Amino acid sequence: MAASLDLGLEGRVAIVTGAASGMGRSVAALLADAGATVHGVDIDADGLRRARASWSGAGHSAGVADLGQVQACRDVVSDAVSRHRRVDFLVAVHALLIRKELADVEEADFDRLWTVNARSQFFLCQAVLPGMAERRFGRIVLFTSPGGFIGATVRSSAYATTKSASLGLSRSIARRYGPCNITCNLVSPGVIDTPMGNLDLSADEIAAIEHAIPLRRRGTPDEVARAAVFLVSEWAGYVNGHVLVVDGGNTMHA
Amino acid sequence: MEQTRDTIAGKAIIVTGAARGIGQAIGDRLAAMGARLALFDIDADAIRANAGRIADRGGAAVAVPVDLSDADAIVGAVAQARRQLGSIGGLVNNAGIIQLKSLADTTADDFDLTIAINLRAPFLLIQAVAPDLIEQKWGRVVSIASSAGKTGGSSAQGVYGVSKSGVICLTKSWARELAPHGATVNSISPALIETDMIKGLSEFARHIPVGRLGRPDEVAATVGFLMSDGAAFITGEDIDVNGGFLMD
Repeated sequence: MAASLDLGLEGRVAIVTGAASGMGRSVAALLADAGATVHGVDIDADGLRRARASWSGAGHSAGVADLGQVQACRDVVSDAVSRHRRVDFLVAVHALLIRKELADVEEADFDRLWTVNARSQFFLCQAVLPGMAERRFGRIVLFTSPGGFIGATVRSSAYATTKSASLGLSRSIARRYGPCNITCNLVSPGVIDTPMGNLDLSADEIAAIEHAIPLRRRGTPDEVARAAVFLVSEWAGYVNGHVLVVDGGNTMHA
Repeated sequence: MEQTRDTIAGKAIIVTGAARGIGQAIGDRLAAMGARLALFDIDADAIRANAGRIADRGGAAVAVPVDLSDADAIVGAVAQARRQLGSIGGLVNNAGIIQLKSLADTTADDFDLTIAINLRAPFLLIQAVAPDLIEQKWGRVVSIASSAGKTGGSSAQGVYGVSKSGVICLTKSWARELAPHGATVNSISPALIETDMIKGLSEFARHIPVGRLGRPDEVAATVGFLMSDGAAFITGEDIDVNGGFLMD
């Protein structure tokens, strides 16, 4: 049997959150390139408009949303379904980072990080799963962070706290919805050259970080996006409940 | 992503255990991606037949019969692959054995044989191809480990899990050593894939969240991903391909 290299993305409908910049922007562009229909979501309307202009093919859509609101998460899914009739993939890339020492994190910082990063993933999944289960097909990819597993490194303890929550959610979905032919996996990007990744880091800090990475460089948004595209593709049909680390060998935790 | 040819196209890649099962599927997948293959196995007839089938489809593959329990033979086989294909660009350590014996019944010779084929051979093979990867400033190594390397496996599998645990650590150690040279080293941990090795275990499907055993081509597809340009920033990673059987 000749191996098929087709990723199986043609005609699939994908919600991509955080689609205005960085890794989310790359995910949306790659999925559009591969023939998927993209519904891109971001809180940044201008950035989303610019990103959307780079998606190849027709039929895509975009919606501005503050995913810190539970109702907005539900609306994103119903909006995508009303435009495209179904959702095959949910790739939740969006995240908020507030670069503060643990001692300096205020209640409002924590609540905002928690609602935008963790609570939104839960309610996006809750909204998208019934339709996927009914059609017996779904691919969910949530973004986490190595900091959520090994601990934060540079002034991101509260962020790391929200990112470890992705693990319990993804594996609960993997277990509960596997029988419905829905897989759920995590992508865990290390230090990536994006607006959010570089937030409040000095050039000296970036140099020190890169020196500690075995590959001696930060990753590119495309290199992470391709891992996410792999996980929704037919190449990864039997990968379920996994954490795919894309960090140049920086952590290598078991 | 599928429109562009990856760097792996045209590269010389060694696949061990390429006669059947997962290794055969990996050969088919990498040939379809345009790699030129050296198929390693102890079953010479089977890899010659597989090389012939790949050539019939317009691919390129040579058969290199080798006993991976023999350290000198490994060095010789890599040299032969290099003579036939030129500088080696990548390696898939897939060959492995399971001896169905309890630990209580495992002799020193049993232990040495499993470790020699499942762990020492991947070590020696990576060591043998490393100069080529370093010279090219590019390389891809993927080793097939197992969920048994993290759980110990079933009680009948004896020392198999021990050897696969070693493969996961070997991967990280080589990843660190080769990363500055532009080569990535990763492993894949399958569980319960439909091959001759696990015949008769289909009742385990009910313990797998997706409700079925995996197929060899599903492991091969993940090898293909790790060999692709899209995976250039992934190194020292172990990817589970198990349908959610073990989520560690």
